[in-house]
Formats: sequence, C-alpha cells, structure tokens
Amino acid sequence: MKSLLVYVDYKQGGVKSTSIELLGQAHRLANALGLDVHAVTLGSKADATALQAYGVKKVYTCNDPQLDTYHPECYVDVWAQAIAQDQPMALFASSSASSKDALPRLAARLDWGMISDGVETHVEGKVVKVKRALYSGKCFAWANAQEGRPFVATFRPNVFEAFDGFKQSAPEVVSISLSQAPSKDWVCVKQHASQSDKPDLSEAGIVVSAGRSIKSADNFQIVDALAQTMGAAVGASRAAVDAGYAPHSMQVGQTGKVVNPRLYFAFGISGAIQHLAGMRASRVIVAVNTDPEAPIFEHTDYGIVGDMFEIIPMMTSALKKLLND
Amino acid sequence: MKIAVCIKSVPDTTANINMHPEGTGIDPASVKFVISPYDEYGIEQALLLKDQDASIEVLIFCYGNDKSQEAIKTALAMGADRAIFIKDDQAWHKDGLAIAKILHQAILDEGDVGMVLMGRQAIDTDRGQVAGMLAEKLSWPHVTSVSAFEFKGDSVLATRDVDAGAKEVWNVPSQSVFACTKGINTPRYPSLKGIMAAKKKPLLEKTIGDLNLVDANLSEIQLSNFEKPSQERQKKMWEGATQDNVDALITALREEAKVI
Repeated sequence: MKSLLVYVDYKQGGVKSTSIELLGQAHRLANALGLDVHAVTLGSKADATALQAYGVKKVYTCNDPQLDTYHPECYVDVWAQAIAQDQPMALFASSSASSKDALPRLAARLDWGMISDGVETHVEGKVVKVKRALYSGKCFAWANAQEGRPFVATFRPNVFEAFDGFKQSAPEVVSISLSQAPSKDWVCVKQHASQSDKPDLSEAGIVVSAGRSIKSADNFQIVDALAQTMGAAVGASRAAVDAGYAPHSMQVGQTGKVVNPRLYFAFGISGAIQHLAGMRASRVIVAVNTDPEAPIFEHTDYGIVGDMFEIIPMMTSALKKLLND
Repeated sequence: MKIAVCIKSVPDTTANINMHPEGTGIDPASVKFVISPYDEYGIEQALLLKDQDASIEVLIFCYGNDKSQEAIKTALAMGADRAIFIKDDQAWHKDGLAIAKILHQAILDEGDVGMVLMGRQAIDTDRGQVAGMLAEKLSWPHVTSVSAFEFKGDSVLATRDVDAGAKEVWNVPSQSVFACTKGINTPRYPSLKGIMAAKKKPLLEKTIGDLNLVDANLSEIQLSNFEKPSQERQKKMWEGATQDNVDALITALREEAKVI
C-alpha cells in the first residue's frame, strides 16, 4: 500500500475542478501518511499528461471511446484493473451521478468497505478518518476502515481548500484495456441532456432557492435572473416542489439534494428541519422572509425581513451593475 | 414471479436527531420510526406490478432492530404479501457492504426472486450503497435513481435521474436491482382493510445466525465521534425591503464574507 488512488474525471478541455480539489486533499493525506498519489482515468477525453501539474506519480488510463457513454460495468472494470495493479490504500472519487452509481458495485466486487460523501479528513496513525453527514446533515460522524484494510471513499464537491503544493512531475502512464465489451442486455438506450445550462445544484458554488411563497412556476424567472448574475444554481424547498412550482431535481432537503455551496440564498423559505438538513453545511447562508420569526433566521449569517418579490429584483440589478463592472 | 423489496426503518424526516452523550450514535428515544421514504417508492412499484398480474408475490426484506416492526407492518398493510425480518440489535452499526451481504443471503435463502426494488438511499445513513452492492453480489444489473419504470415482461425500461435534470433510459432484464427515487410513482396509503389483512400476513423473523451466511467478516467501515453540526451563524439582520438594506447585504457578502 504505497499510494492513494484518485479517480480523475474530465470535462471538455481538462481535468474537472472537483477532481483537482480532491487531488489536493489526497496530497495532504499522502504527505501525512508517506504515500504517493496515483490516478485512474477513463474515456477518450482522459489526458494523462494533463495530470503532471497535479503531482501524480502514476496514471492508469483507459482511453476506449466506449467509455464516453457511462456504463457502470465498464467503469467498474477499469477501476478494478487499476486497483489490482496498484494495490492502493484507498480509492478516492468526487461524488457524482456516475461515482455514486458504480462505486458501490466496485466495493462489493473487491470486498472493500465504502465511505460516501465525505466532507473532511483526518489522519490518526495510519488510519484515514472521513467525516460524513448522516440524516442529511442533522448529525455528523467519522467513518474509517480498520488499519490495513483498503476502502473506497467519495467526497462532496467544494469541501476542501485549494491546494497550492502540487509538484510538477510527468506521471508514469499505464494503459488499461476493457476486459469485456459492454453487456448487450444492460444498455443505456436514451440520454436526455439537462434542459437548462444552469450549473448542477450539488456542485454549484452559489445556490439560490425559493419556497412555496414564490406562488408559481413562472415566478421562478426572477430567481433565475438573480442566479444568472452570479452563475448560481437554482433550488427549491419541498413545499415549492410539492406545489408543482419546480421539478424534484431542484429540491434541496432531506428527500432532495444536499448542497454545500460557499453561499446559499433562501428566499421565502421558512426553514423546516427537512430543508435545513439539505443546506446547513453551506459556508454562508442568506435568508429573506416576510416573517421575522421564521426559523430559517436562526441558521443564517445575513437576513432581510421583507418581501422577496421586492428584494430579488433589487439584488439582481445591483449585482448586475457590480459584477459587470 | 417473486419481487423482493428491501426496506429500512428510519427516523421520520421531521424528527430532531439527538446524540448519545458519549457520541456513540443517535439516541432513538422519542423518535418516530417510519419506512425510509424512498423505499416506499420501491414497495409501490412492486404493488403496481402486482395490480397488473395477481400471480406476482411481493416480499418485504428488512434488516434492522426491533424498531423495524412498525415499518414492516406498514409495508404489509400497503399490500405486500409477506415479510422476512432479519432482526439484529446491532443492525444500525453495520456498514453498507454488510447490509448488502445480509440481504443477499436472505434473498438467496428465499430463492426464485425475479426482481429487487428498494429506495435510492436510506435517509438515516444516506449512503446509497446497498443497491449496487447487492446487484454485484447477485451478478445482476442495477439501475439507481429510477424515476420512471416501464415493465416489459422480460425486461424493464428504467429512467435514471442524473445531474441537473439530465436523464438516462436503461434497458435491463427484469431480474435486476432497481433503486427508486421521487417521480416514479405515488406510494399508496394503507387502507383500513389493508391494515386488518396485514395482521394475518406471514412475518418471518430471523437472526443473522439463521442465514446461510459464510462470510463472517461483515462490517468494514466503523463510525465514531457522532456530533451535531456546530456552525455558529452570525445572524446579522436588516428590517425592510429597501435599497439600502439590499446594498448593505451585498457589501457584507463581498467585503466581510468574501463570497461574491
């Protein structure tokens, strides 16, 4: 066990920012444990040389274009081969739709334990402890594998400070080929791209949410306009989703998405436990509500008691002016 | 066909969660336990298939402590045929892999199961691991975050919610593991007739020792140092929807919090 293996994800034009964030944290842990950081990548966009800026010693890569469309079996195949060769202490990945879907399968294949959605790490002797939320953030606990037992861990985006100690080094590249073609009776037959070009809620740095008092789906336009000025994602409370004003994919809360942006806006959201569970990990929370007694104000850094239908447009034009200058 | 629905009994979403003073876990006293909301979608999906084909048998598999009785009875009252309850006082301390191994063995011991349904994650531990792990153990395909389900006899078209409203449609054999999410259906409430009928339905109670489990090494991951979120908020407030207040807020976000 000489390495921490990080699954590195690519977007058009380079390494995903969530992967860079995780590589940084892997280096902090590797330094404390005396290990190297290795990476595993897949798909035709995966460019191993792009990793030399991130201090990666060895990269396992499978450039098979069949991996450009997600298939859990193929992803598991590549990860399992990389792990068989590398024998790492752990495999780390950012939480994403594909890592959440496929990594449990990998863990079961390897008979490894898995820690999901870590938010903080800590080294105790030779053991890595990972802090994670339970009950969508109503409480936290530290998870760890026994000393000497490898494990899989996913981490939420935006939880680690940027790392500035990356050492440039050209990584050794190990090519992997798929050991089998994707199964013919387990296939993705259709993909619907996201309807919007807004950033994804669980990865966004800023989230703007509205509650049932938004009164209609059309009124979300004013929220969208504000979000656009800051490049923010748009969320909704369960009450707003249940009233049909927003789709479930926008729901923030215990039975929706859990978000932890650096800045969270709650407009017309009273602050039910259900909702708080999904957003209380945000670094800075702002609430606007007409009711000064609304429980949300107990959980905010900044609050305005007032009507969001007046405040949102004022904020939008002020921010437009400010951020365009 | 036998359909297995795996459910977990969890504290209600409106419950406040309190810690044991020693930080060894949560204090379950005075908390109402319910079926994990996503698991209800799994039960409903099985019942919808049974509504179409009365020969389908819906089996509830539940691994948990004695607080799970209520959830199992609710599932039977909704219309499931019978239940297999693997009772373990220590169930809450088992990791996802252990739960998957236990459910896997219970399903094998039952035999002839043609489909497995469950929720996308239990809302207590929020791991979302068991569906993929169980499918791997069974050597079946899996689809997670299933928000639409079309049964075609031998196969299923399952729509998987990806990020930001993107979706994928997967064609898999009906003998697969499906982890359901909101949108797939509207779970029914137990009827009075259902509640009465549930009292007579078979509820088989087992212990882990009763399972033909060869793998004794169960939990890989342990949890410790439970704590409440402690972030102190500064609660700076302005009264009234005025331009001055909006400007003050933006200045604070920019200069004090440095987040925009």
